[in-house]
Amino acid sequence: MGRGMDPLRVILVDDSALFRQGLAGLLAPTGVEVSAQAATADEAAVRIAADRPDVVIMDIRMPPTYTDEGLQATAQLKKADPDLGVVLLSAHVEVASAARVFEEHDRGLGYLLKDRVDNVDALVRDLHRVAAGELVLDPEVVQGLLGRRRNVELIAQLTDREQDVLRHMAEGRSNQRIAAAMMLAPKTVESHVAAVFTKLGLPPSADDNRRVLAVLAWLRTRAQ
Amino acid sequence: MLAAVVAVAVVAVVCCWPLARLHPLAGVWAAAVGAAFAGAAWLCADLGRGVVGWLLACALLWGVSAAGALGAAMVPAGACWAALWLLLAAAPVVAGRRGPDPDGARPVWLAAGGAALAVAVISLAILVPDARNWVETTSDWAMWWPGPARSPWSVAVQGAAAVAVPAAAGLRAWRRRWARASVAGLLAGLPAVPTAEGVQQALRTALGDPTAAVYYRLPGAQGFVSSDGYQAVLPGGGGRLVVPAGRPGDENSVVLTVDGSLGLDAAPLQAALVACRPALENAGLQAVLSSRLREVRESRARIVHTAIDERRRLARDLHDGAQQHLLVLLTRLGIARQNTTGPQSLEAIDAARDQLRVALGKLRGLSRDIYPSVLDAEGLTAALESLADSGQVDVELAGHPGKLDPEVEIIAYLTVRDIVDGLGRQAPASHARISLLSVPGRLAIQVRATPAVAGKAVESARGSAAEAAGQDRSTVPPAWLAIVADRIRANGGDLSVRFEPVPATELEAVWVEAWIPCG
Repeated sequence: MGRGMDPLRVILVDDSALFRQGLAGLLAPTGVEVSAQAATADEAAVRIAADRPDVVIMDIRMPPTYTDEGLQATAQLKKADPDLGVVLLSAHVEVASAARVFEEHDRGLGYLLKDRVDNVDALVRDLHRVAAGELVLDPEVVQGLLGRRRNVELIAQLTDREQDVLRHMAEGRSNQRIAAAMMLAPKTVESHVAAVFTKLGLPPSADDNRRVLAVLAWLRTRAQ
Repeated sequence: MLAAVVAVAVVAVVCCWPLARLHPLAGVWAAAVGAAFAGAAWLCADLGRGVVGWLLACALLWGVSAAGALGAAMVPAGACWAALWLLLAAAPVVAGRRGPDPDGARPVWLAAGGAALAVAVISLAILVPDARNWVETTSDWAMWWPGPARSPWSVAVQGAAAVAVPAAAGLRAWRRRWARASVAGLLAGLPAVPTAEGVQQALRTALGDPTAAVYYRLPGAQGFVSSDGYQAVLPGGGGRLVVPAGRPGDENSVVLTVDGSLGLDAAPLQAALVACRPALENAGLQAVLSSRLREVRESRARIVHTAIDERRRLARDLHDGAQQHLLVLLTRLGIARQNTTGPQSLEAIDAARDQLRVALGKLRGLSRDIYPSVLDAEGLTAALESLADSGQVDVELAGHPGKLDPEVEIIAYLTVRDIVDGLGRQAPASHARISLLSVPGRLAIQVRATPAVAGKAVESARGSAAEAAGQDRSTVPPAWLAIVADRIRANGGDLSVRFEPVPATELEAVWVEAWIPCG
């Protein structure tokens, strides 16, 4: 929960003023401070340089071409300041491209469906995680990855618990968070994680973010 | 015709024989002039009986007046001589019978006719005894004076003057024949159904003019089409000679233009074109047809192009319009929920949010069906990967064609999507291997689908229309692929389908191969 943590400062970048207002209105009572708003990637860069926020909430499709301005702006921001948290908001579920974004950035990055914003508690939680350097991937995108035909067959060998653990890992959660979310003991989660890694043939990794990336890479791999 | 010409030639030549007694050379020369008239008549055979008859009459009069030149019959000879020149004076009339003056020869004919008329008048005057006496007694140059031959010199000069007119006619006729023969020879070498461009090339070679061009008038319209089937405006002026070559009464239905500076005459060109009129008319039909076909192709491509633009615009409108507003609504509902405590209100807001999420989901699906946003953002490979993730068919992608023209990408995407969708409907459990290969100038798409259920994909995927028409059913696209094939072909590509038994099973695999021009 966002409440009770240090106040988080975010910048909203979206070409729709109404959506920015709505989102700012949603965030206002949660203790997340919207320090600035911007309608374009260029404007955002100026505001961020002037007053660095903890997290940038960035729409992907913006003027002028309405294709991937948000992704390009993210790449530039992260290049200048790798610790800056960025949460990308997508109007579409593009599983492959979402997973690809994480190949380029290994910390402080989120990719959420725009519909997700109205669950403000979850959104604030995700903002804090990204601000802390974690990776956050939208559950629907993860579902898309898990639902791939090849993945379905391979994942079928996992137990239900292990599948849940895999999903949480793909969404970017650490063992602690998985334990909290699934209401399990950390030790139990650890053993499930170990089982998943062994069964899927993934290289074990102590670093949480590396583990997320390994899982994503595994899910993304296609039989050629 | 030939017999008449030979007979007149013989008479004209024999009549000249008495002149040989005056001087051997005079006789030979006079006979040669008679033969020249007859030869010109033979060459002009295709100009009509009038011209031929005129030249034969000239030949006869020349022969008779030469025969009379022995001096024994001065008055009949002189009368024949005057009649000959009167007849030659009619040259402009004879030449003018061929309608407009296509080769600009009329002034020459008029001058020749006028000169001949003058000689005729003087000759007639000499028939009057006083005048003859005056000429013969008072002038030293009587031997040059026009009239029945008096000396070898007289015969030579007068013969040369007389033969100039038939020689000109014969030369024209000969040039016409030569042009026709050379074009006809080339046309004989053309394939059985020569193309418009083939005919044009034959004419270029025959005329020695690489810029020669044939235009065909569009039926029922003012415009012309060039031999390669493009609509064209006739090149006027600029030193180009324009030769109408259509049927009499509709001369402008086919028009040949040649480089005016080459000094070609219109008449032989027209004659040449008459020789190849069947080929020209055939070529004209082809050129008009290919112009029409090109129009249809272009309009089909425009329709596809417009449809794609519409798709892109619609998808963007959905994103910028309806979707944005629904998302704003979602945030408003979220804010309302934060400020509400009553359980009934909370329940109502949650129900509204659930419905809103469903609406957003449907809108996303619709937008993606219309134009997948990932295509513009990340290209074909990403879009197809995303497609493979969501379909009913087990799709295996091979090949990464790299960045292509956006229009090629969307057509390739829609092609693969429609094939995969179609397979999904026909045989839900099929497996499809989709290969994309980008080679210079084209993108090749190959889909090999194997149904998991025996006989399922096979029968239903086949084209029943093709079977009904008795066509080879293994290559005709089935109905569900027809629209895919149309889109590909409208863009200048092609699509083909074939069915193949899978060894050791009762399954039959379907191969779809398509290519799209690009780059």
